[in-house]
Amino acid sequence: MNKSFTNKKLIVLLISVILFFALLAVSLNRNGSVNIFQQIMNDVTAVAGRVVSKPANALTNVFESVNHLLDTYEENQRLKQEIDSVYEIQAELSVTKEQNEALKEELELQNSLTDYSTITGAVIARNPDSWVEEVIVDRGSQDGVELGMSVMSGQGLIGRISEVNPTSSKVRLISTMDQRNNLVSSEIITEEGDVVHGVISAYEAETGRLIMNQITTNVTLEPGQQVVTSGLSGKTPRSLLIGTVDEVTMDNFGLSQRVYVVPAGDFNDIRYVSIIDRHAESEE
Amino acid sequence: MIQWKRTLIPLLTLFCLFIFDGTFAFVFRNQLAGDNYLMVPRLLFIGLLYFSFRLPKNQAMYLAMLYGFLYDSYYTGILGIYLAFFALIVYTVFYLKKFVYINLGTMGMIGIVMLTLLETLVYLVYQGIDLTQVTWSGFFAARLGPTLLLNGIFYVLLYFPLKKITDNAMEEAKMI
Repeated sequence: MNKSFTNKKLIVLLISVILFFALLAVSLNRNGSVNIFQQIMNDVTAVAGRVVSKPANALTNVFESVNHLLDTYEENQRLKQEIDSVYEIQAELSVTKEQNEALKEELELQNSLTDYSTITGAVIARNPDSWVEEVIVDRGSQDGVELGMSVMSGQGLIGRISEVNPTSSKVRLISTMDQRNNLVSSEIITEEGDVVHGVISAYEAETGRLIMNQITTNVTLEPGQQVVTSGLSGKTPRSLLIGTVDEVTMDNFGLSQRVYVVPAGDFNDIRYVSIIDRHAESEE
Repeated sequence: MIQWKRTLIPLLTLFCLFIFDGTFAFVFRNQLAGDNYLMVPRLLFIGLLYFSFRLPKNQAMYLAMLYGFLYDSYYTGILGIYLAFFALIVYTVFYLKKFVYINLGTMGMIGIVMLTLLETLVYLVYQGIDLTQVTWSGFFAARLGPTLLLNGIFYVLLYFPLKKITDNAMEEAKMI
């Protein structure tokens, strides 16, 4: 039965192969803006996704509360110890904030790199594929979400908006290290006040740590220091927590330091996200 | 009336499976992904496979292309991957359908082969466009094995409901 390919079949096959590569190329280079047809499709699907994810979330919450009840006592002990240090830090913080406001007024600064507002959203679905870690949230361009905004969940930065539709958007997590467009510009502020800049450019899946590269400095970095965003890239404001330093080594060529960062956000259990809208204008 | 039922029911079932894929991946993420394994729920693929065995060729092909495109657009944002591969798998199933008697076991075995084919092709494409650095052996052990396991269980759970739904849609007493 399979004697030889007829001409028609061959032509159809060839055209589909060409179309396949064309589609692939177009969607890889398009960098986030989709045409209106796709946006409508994504939104309609997102509506269905929302309907299903709300009961699923509620169910997970119930299970989690039951779990929490079981370790309440230990958590209580631990939290009591942490509260004492919090009071101190709060007092320091309010004094510093006041000073900051006064100085800003003096210099007549409008919007600095740290000003931002948040848009909170809920997660509706996640890419089941997991080749590219993406999470779909239920806020879109109508709520003010724009391409490239940073997204935080839990206590830390988890990703960046990679696609925007009218009522839903896709967040690409920083655990997908796409060398072309998923780098995070970061900094570490040591106790002495030195600011060390670097770029978070890779993710080590086995240990779950981010890798910060391109640190050309003589300052010694130690485990436990906090890594935050530096605000020097377009859309991310300054001082969003990324994680804490775990290990400091030299890179392959011995020219710069390489820091392994334990992320503060949880990449596996993401349910509610805050999308960060920076107030300062950027040059793009 | 029969005509509408026949086209609408598979469409809606596949849509439900499609949404469940995403919800499942996000609600059970901690269970699906561990230190060195990652299970991918492929509910949509199981549904598509079942329908390509039972439904006429054109309808199954349209469903495959539609849901392939939807999957690409909604979940990954890179068009063309699942569109092409779902169509390819349905085409292959049509070719193989003539040689085997269809029941739970044989469909399951063909399903395992097709799922392996799909996962391998997608992995090769992602390696080709440089979005993953997972090695071939890492892929086999960490993703393919656990995925086949998870979806084998799903397949057995979904087979009889899907059978009932298709019988309902086609309104003939097909004893398969």
